[in-house]
Amino acid sequence: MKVSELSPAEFSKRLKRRGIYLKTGPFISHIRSSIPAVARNLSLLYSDHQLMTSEDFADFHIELFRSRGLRRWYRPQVNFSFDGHIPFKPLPLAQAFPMFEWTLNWCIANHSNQYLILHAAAIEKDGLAVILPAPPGTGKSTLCAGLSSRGWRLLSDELAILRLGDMKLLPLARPINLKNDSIDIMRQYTPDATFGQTSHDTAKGDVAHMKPSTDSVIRSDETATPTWIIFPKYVANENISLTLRSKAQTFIYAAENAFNYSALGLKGFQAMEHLIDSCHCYDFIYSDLDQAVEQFNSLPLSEEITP
Amino acid sequence: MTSGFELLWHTWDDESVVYHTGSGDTHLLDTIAMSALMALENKALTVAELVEKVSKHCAINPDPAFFESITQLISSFNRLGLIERYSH
Repeated sequence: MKVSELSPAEFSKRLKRRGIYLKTGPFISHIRSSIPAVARNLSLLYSDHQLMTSEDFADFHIELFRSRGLRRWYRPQVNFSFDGHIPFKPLPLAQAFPMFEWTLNWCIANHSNQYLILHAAAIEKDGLAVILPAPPGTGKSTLCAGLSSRGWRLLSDELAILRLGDMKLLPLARPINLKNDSIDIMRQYTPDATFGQTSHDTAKGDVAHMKPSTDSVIRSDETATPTWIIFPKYVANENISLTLRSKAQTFIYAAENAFNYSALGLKGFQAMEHLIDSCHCYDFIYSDLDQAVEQFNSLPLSEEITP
Repeated sequence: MTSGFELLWHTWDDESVVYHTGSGDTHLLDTIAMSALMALENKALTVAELVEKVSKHCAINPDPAFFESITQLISSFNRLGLIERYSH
């Protein structure tokens, strides 16, 4: 059953009582919350995702709940619990849905050592995938959102999940986390897209989530072959450029920014070696989304730069 | 080399990554560092012997500055646990 098959009221009721079993890529999360903003955003932004039943194995048991006592009324807060533990301090209640997204990332990134998990976005076309690792503030999510609205399939906005063994990328199509100026940029660039409510003054500034395309969600069992690793950087008024990048330095960057490279030990090294060896690595500077999309639609399949 | 552990390499162009099975750490090496570590992987060497081998392999004049850079490289390898002092 899809989330959209439940009315918002039914969904909210189920989320509050028994909780929902939500399938995102290879993971099933059991989620409970009585917070209306969590129910509203989940129902809206995950409407194409599959709901499983309580008979299914859940990888993570998550609850988001309001602080009790005085905090129920004075500067209300939201808490996150994972398998009954509360690993983080509460956040303002208005940040309940961003907290859900961040903590689900945390659950996946820290409890899934059957995969190599990179801190990167990933998109796919014709079976070939681009991994987009980059520090925050470089325009990675904006580019990922732009490409996913122009024919590229969203695999993930934050976590590139590589299956050890065949090193295929597994889809984890979830809402794209947009920050600050990117929110209005994407509202204009993709007027038909669905956006959740904006949360202001979070640790990352203003945050809003863009719903992944239905196609990305439906094809959530369809893996992709990593073919390019591209470090994007938005630079206003700069000419577009795609330049080859050192593979060894890409290895080190990807390893340092992977969530579990060290935990995987030798397997992690071998997996990363395979990944870097089989991908073309580039730095990419852009200032215009349409130009960026055009460039991505003609990415070189050999270590060359197209004119 | 640190006894009982292995180094795993992968080289792309003039840079390499090396994984040390003892520490689980991965390091980025340029041509000179790679040449030096490979030489030490084969057998224990004095600093002078290592300078000679690396200078030949990389076609670099073994002047005092090069000797100093190899000395510093050895200190770095030692600090990272990649090598240890050899005693008879």
